[in-house]
Amino acid sequence: MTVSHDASGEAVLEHEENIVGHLHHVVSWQTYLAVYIALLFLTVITVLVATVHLGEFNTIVAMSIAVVKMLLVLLFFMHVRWSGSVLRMVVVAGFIWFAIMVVLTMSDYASRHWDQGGSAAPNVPGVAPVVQQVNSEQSNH
Amino acid sequence: MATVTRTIDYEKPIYEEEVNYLNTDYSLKSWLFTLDHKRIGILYLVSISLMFILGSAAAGLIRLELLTPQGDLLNADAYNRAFTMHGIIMVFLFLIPSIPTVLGNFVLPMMLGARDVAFPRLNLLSWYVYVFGALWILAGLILGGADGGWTFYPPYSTTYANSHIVPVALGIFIVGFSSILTGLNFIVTTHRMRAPGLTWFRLPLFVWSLYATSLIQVLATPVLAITLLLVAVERVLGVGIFSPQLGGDPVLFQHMFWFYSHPAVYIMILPGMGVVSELVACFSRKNVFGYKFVALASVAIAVYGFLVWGHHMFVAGQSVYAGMIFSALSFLVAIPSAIKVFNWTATLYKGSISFQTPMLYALGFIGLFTIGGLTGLHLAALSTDVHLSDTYFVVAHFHYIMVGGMMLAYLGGLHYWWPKMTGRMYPELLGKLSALIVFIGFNLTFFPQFIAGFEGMPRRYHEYASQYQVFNVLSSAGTSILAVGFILPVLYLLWSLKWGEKAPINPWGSAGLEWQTPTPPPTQNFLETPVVTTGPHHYSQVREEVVG
Amino acid sequence: MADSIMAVTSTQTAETHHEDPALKHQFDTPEQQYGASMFGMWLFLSTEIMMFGGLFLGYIVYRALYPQAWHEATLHQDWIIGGINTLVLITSSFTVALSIYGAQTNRKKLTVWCLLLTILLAFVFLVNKYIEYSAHYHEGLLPGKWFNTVEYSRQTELFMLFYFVMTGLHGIHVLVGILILSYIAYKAWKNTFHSEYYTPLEVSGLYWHFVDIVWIFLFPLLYLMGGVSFGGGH
Repeated sequence: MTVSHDASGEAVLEHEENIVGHLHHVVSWQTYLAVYIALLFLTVITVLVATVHLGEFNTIVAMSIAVVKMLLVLLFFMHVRWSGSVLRMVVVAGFIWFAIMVVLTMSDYASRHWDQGGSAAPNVPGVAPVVQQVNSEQSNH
Repeated sequence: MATVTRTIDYEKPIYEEEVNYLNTDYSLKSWLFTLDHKRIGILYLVSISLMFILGSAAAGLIRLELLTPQGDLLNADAYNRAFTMHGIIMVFLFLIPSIPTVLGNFVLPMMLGARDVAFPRLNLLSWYVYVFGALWILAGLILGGADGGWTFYPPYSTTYANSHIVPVALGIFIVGFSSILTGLNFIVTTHRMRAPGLTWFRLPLFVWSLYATSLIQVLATPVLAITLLLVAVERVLGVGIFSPQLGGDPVLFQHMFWFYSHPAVYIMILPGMGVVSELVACFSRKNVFGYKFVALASVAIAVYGFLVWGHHMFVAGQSVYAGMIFSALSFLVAIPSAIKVFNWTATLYKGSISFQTPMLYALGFIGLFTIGGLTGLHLAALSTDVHLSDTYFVVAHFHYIMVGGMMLAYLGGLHYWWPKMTGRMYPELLGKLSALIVFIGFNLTFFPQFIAGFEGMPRRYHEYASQYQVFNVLSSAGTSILAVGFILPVLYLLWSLKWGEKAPINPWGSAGLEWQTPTPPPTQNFLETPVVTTGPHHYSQVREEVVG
Repeated sequence: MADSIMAVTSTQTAETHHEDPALKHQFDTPEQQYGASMFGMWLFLSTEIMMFGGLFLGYIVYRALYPQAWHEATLHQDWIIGGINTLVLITSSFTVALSIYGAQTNRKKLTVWCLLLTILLAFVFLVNKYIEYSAHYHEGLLPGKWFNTVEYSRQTELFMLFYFVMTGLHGIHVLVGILILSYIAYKAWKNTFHSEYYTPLEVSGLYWHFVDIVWIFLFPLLYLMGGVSFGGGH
């Protein structure tokens, strides 16, 4: 990390740009309008796709479109497209941590019924179990 | 602009007639509306000390009850509330804030060469949020307290408990935001407010540890917030997302709760490790061995700590396969901790060691933390955990780390920076004596619990089988000694405020940037913004002797 | 004891503080202050990701456990109102972005009007939510003692819990956003912002966009998973 001196002899750390990127970057209203129209369009598409029965694909398509919409808002409305690396890392970190939480938790639910056919859901009357309970000697602990 | 090179004369004491952050304004308003990080640190010091007294009282009740196998002092319900409130107060109202809000607030900006933190108003808000949350918890306590453990497992907490879960849970929810705001402030401060020349790898290790702690506070605490909110919703509505009658899974609560609470235990040790790095370097007159490894190990612990929470749920109904993943990851997280212990030891080797009070606490930390950490490995192994889970072995393990580790580090840091904070020296002989009493009392209290737990004594029971009595008697006896060890510093530190010897600028001959300002510091910390040209803890370049 | 421990070479701090009233005492330059504010706000948004994330985690878990029930439960939602609310929030994001553009280009009128429009749209959102919540109440879909357990399954009640907690928490964020944006609109009207300083406006905008992003995910997850038919939403 370099320490330079400005005209008055003040030592200045050169990392402002690394954090916020180009300061006071002005995004044109035309760009905003284009992004807005894209977002409206994608919302309509999301609803239209929901009218068609694609099974599991419905979820995947809906979520993919939602992710694209989110990226548009993040990159353009929230200026991440022009932000420095440190800010981008903060954004990415939030999502990675959410992913950690989901993946490791789902590793439990996904694997519960590997063990002698135990049900992941509580066996409650009136509630349809996910997997048939198989009688076994071994208990799940 | 003229460039001035100054040599600071450490022999010259700073008299109280000079204006510093304490005497600049004595009014209550100036304290309650302060934006000065140093004053906010003192506000926290007073608040958490009061909370510590309450938490200790609860501990006293527990240990008194456990002197005999029968439930004679407290009935089961009262005992459950005692250990629940002990846990909640000690974890959320004392240990999690402790080093970051008291020592961190005071010292971090000075270690960075800054005038204050990045967001002073947010800092003050953090304190008010802490107080507000603490009041909720105290209200719950006065109404009779909550029971079911600080862990709030449903369906007991949501459906069957007859105690005041909601105010206590909401209080913790509120206090969590204090923690988040402090962490946020420290991260931005460390990134943005460093003095010219102060690169990341010139930062003192205390800063690295606070930074790592802040990462955890920011990313983990919000999950606790939403989890406790859901518990409150379930209690109020009668049903919730953890209700089995709706198809809900109580183990989901445990996933969400421990996703925060495991990283939380790293909040409760990393700052202590940072303090120990500072103390070991200063009182061995040596640079910390393997500085970069220690710095990066702090961040590694913070990150890794998010991947292991399932080791609290091995016997809860979690799948065995997930358990195996969590167990393997838990073994890995021991590695950066071990790296630190080895590096501190290597720092001590061939150092010029002096046994001042702070150093005694630091040495105690290294030994006790190692024991606590190693016993964590017993618990990380799936098979042994089945036997040891929910026994006193677990209780002993975490007290070795939280009290033997973090608490000792907090006391060590408090003594170390006390001259800087108050301009007074504490009485050194009493300091050493207290440290010794704490060490003896602590081990007598908690070591027998390892054995009792291994022998099968369950935790959270107000009565127990008579074969465990000898361990419990030893443990309770230890508590009385430990109590003396904790009370003495309260007394002599308060005493020193008025009658303690006036402190020189740098009584320890420390290399820290925070010691390059007057003692106590003026409100703006530095008279001129320093430019840093050397690394931290560079004791090998210093030819002075510490005045003992 | 005569050696100094660290060569402290000090420079006089630049006396910019007295000239720029917006520059806080702890910062050296306006750029540093702006950078710190942005950084702080993004960190805060990360905490919000984790908080809402907990709810999304629960949703994902239960959807994996009860996929059929989850699909059926969304059929009780009115996708038309949900869709309108989505368009409303997206538009409000657009107006808030425009208000920042206005500050950057010294067009105070644009800034203030766009902020007022954003607030109005936020109100429309909340009114729609009130309509929805009342409808659910009358249909016996409110979890707890008001739930019609005869007509609806227990897992529908579980889903409705997610619906109310997620949209409720989101709604509280909308309400807080209204308060924040109102204050910012007032400051804008008082000429606080201009092309060199509009940090509070930008920071508030970031918050508002985040609120929009949460809804972008809530809409499909809570309203559309069971499929949509144009014959009648509800």
